Amino acid sequence: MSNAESIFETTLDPRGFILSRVAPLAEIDLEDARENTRMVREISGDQVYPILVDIRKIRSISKEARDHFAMRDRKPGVIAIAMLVSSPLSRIIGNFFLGLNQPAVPTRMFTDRDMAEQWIVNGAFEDHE
Amino acid sequence: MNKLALDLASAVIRISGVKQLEGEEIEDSAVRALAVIEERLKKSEYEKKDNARRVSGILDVVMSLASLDYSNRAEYSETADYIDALAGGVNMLGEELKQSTISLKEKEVLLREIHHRVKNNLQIISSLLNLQSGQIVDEEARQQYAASHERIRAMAMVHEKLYESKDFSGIDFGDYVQSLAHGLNLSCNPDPSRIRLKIDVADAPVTLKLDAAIPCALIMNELIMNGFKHAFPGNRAGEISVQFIRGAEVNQLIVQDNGVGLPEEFDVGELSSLGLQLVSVLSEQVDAKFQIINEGGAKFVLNCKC
Repeated sequence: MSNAESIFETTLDPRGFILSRVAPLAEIDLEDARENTRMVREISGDQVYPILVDIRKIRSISKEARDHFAMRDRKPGVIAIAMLVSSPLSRIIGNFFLGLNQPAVPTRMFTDRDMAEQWIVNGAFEDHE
Repeated sequence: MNKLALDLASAVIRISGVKQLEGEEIEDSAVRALAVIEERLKKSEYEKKDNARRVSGILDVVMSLASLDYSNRAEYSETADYIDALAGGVNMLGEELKQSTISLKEKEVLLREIHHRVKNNLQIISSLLNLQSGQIVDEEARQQYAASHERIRAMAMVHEKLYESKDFSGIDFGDYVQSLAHGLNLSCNPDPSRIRLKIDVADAPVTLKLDAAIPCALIMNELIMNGFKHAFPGNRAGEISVQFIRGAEVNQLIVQDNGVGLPEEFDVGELSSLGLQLVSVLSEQVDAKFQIINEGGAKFVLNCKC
């Protein structure tokens, strides 16, 4: 049974991006990942927004969930991903998304929330390679 | 309390971080401070042992992964510290490695299957040609069918060796030379007691990639068939020798016979037979130097960098 709603707190920021916070010590599996995608789609409606994902307190994420978030086999529901990290574990997970589980859209890792928001709000991800 | 004892008590209190309570004697504060330090040392010792145990657990997982055993996972503690990050990283790397290994194995199976099917299809074509050649009355046409049958069989054998190989990237050409020569001796030698076949190949394996193996196989096939067909007319007896010599830079394939040799008017530039034309074209394809020596029989030498 998914507990994604308690694992992710997902909202639409008035500045035009989705904010998804991962709950402390969350262990994310495929079902949670799918549920998060469903929530993002529901919030986005007809639009496609960039997303700021706060994984600073994450505990683990399964291989299947990482593959799901990489969006390689489906139409991406977001146009860019900014990952907010801080703990050693969140940094490791962030690096997996920059390397082995690279998402199909521009993705960057930040330790500073303001910089992450700036990257998203200013559309800097459009120049991302 | 003398000055030294007082200084020591103050230092102990300072190091411990405890605060002297109002009205508390410094001796009592120092005793409390020592208890705190003792507790801290015990905890530190415990943490040290616990960290060693956790790191050792991660090392066990790394060692399992090195032997492609994915059943173990590193455990997390409640601390979410660097050791937990290491455990998480190792677990995730293990998952990725497991998937890569699975897809690699799937690809191997698929590749083996493809080579197997190609070999089977080529063998079917070869057999069809063989069957059809039996219905042809004209001897020359029948021989042409038979030659095509052998050429296709030579190619099929390359694919057979490929799917039997470890990594499908190439075949041990020395082993192939032996198999093909033996096969031709059975199918094309008009009289094995009169025409002997001697095979001498390099001991060390020489791996040829598919794109080089097929032309080299066809070249060898033509040269051996040519020997059986033309070197010993009538009841003339003799020997055909097939050598494959491994060189530091150039490998050498020699097919030599002690038969009647090539006709005096033979001109390499004006080859009329399809077989030797094929040899010439295929040699160029693998960037090999092809030589014909007409002395004490015919000697064909192929120097190939592949």
